[in-house]
Amino acid sequence: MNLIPELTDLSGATSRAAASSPRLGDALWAKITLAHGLLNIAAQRFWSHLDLQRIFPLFQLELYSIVRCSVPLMKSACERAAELAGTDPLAASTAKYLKRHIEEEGHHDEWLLDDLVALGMDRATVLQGNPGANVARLVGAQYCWIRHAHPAALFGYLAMIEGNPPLAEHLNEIQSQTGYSPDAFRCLQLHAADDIEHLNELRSTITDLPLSRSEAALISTSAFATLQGLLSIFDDLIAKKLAVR
Amino acid sequence: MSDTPSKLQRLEDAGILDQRQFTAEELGLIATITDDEIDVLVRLRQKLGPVTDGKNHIRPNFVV
Repeated sequence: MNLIPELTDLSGATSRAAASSPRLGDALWAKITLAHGLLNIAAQRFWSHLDLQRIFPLFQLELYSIVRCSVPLMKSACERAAELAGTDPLAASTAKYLKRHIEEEGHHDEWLLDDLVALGMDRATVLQGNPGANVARLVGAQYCWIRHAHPAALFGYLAMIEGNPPLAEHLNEIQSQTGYSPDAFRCLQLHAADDIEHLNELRSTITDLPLSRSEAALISTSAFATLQGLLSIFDDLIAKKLAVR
Repeated sequence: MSDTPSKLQRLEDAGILDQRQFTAEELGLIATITDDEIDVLVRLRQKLGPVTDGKNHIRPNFVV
């Protein structure tokens, strides 16, 4: 028995009718769950680091770069999806989700900027900073897929980043270990409170997407590339910490 | 479905999947993973080293 319908055309639209079984979305989410497991393993190593007090501000600064790039990225994907939506059900679903989600994610960069100031960073200096190479690779890959493949690729990025939200218990532990003010954790704490709902919404959206087999593979590729990018960020932040010692 | 056990076993052997934690239905979904996708996950898993036990509350803390 083959769990995925056999397709003769993997290019997308013509195979969609045969391939739009909800099982494709469910199978995609199952693969994403495996990737979450690997990210959690990396997270355990990162967040258990003995020198967390020095690493945490660097993490928050890198996170600011990601957050600052993410809403413009989602807007770009939404615009492309809206262009395609008239003849492409997947694009229509993508545009519908992103339009709503962009509103939910607005101003999170400002929250995080306030948190960085609470960590002792200068607001103007942070604002003048450019995204580093890891963030450019992470986000830049999505622009490539949005423009040259399908804007639904962004679901892979969102699933990896938002599909495994912070827990208040863990954030409180980091705060206790580092001794930083609660004001430095406001953005993460708000996500811990809100993102379970976002996760459920994202999961149901992905599992219900009208996917062809090739489109599901694209989102999977996007998710795994995002995983790889996030692992590189963890690795480089630890290395950077050592370099400034 | 003859290759299904080998895919799940590859994931288990690599430390990516603990089959005891998933239902048969979930394992069926996971088994749709391609060999290329397994290769990517195995390469990434090999870089990560051993799992730290007892810290299941730890999260990556990436947000958008």
